[in-house]
Amino acid sequence: MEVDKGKGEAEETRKVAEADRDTVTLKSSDGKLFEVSKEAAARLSTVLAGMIAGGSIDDNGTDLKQIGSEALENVVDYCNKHANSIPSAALISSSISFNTAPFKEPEEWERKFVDRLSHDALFDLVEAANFLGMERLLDVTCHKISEMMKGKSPDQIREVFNIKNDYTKEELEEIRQELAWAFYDD
Amino acid sequence: MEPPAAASDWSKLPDDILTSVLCCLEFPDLFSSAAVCTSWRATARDLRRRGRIYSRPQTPCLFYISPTGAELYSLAAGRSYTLPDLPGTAAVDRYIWGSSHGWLVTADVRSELQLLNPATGQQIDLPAVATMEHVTPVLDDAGELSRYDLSFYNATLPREETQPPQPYEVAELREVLYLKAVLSGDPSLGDCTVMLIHNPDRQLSFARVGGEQWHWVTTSPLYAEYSDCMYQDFKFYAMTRQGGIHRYTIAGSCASCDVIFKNTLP
Repeated sequence: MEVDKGKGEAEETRKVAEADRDTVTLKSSDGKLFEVSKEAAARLSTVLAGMIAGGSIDDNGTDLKQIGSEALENVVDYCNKHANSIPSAALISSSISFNTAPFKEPEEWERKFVDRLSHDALFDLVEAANFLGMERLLDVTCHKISEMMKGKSPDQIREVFNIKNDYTKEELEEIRQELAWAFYDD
Repeated sequence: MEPPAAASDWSKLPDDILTSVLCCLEFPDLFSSAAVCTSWRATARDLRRRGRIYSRPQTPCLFYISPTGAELYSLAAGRSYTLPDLPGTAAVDRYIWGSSHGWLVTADVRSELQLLNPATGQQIDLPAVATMEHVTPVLDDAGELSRYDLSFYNATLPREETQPPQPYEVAELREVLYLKAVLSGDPSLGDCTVMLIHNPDRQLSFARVGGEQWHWVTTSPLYAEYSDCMYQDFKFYAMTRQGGIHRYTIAGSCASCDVIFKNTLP
């Protein structure tokens, strides 16, 4: 442990010496600027990590033309919160379940973070996470979306997500066979 | 209450994102989501084709027969589902000899075995019962199957019959022959071997899913009657009625045996 600590300190000193700033500035498609912890951005986003390592970070605001200001604000908020959060000993599901899910369950603060989002904001955030290669945020947002589908009939899911039933009569008959489980009478 | 949905077009959620979402869902919800719209269905279909990506552990389901037919009770969804009509023998008329990796091993009224996925209705025929060591089909004058004869000798060589072969009706053979079937894995994900404990004398035979025949496992010089079997780390572990454990490694049509644990009972 002692040796590791020494190493970590040396690493920190080197890092600080190397970088003038410990944040990076990101610019949304609509021109708004956001500051984010460089360490968190590099750790949570493969795309930002690549840009930081490759020196393509602009001090006046790195252009992220694909991401709107609301989504970028959430991304930055998530990164900064992540930088400050103490990782729990084990990301163990608190729900009573027979199985451990294949993904790591969201932590309490992550759950709250996505729970407060509107449908639109969630949609934009999941796309932003995908674009930026943010695996953890993608897991958390996809998990949230899946929670919104749980225990619902196809009709109820359409209602939640405002999706039109675009099947032809023939197709509908086909999926009744293919997906018999989705059709039940209460 | 969910907040009201607005401008975002969720039916156009990028494919890879929707795939990640679907991978979080258990079967009942996966099916409901797949039925939502044409693009979601296409993604769900693709997911099914790529099989391995979807590895969500499932909460166990209870399979049972009710007056309305075969049903699955999903603990995850807290509801029961009626199985779709199956080609061949109806589920209510089948015998169930095993359940592994989400598949049932069933025997139909012809005493043939098949794998049945109760969630998807998918079925895979196992090799014909007539290819089993102790089973001989008997044809009538018109060349039609009239009955099966079952020979009585144990798994040691040479074969020594303890009684003459017994005749069984085609539908009746399954009641005396089969005891338990165990799968090495999910047959929809690749190679899969079925180990069968069967009569007479609780012997073993195995077959590959998609294979042509059953392979009889002889135990000479040991004599063993097996009571249970499981699959772990590419090997079958069979327990004898006398408390011993035999490990079987399958290669081609051969099963080699290592005694892991000697019999504890005489």
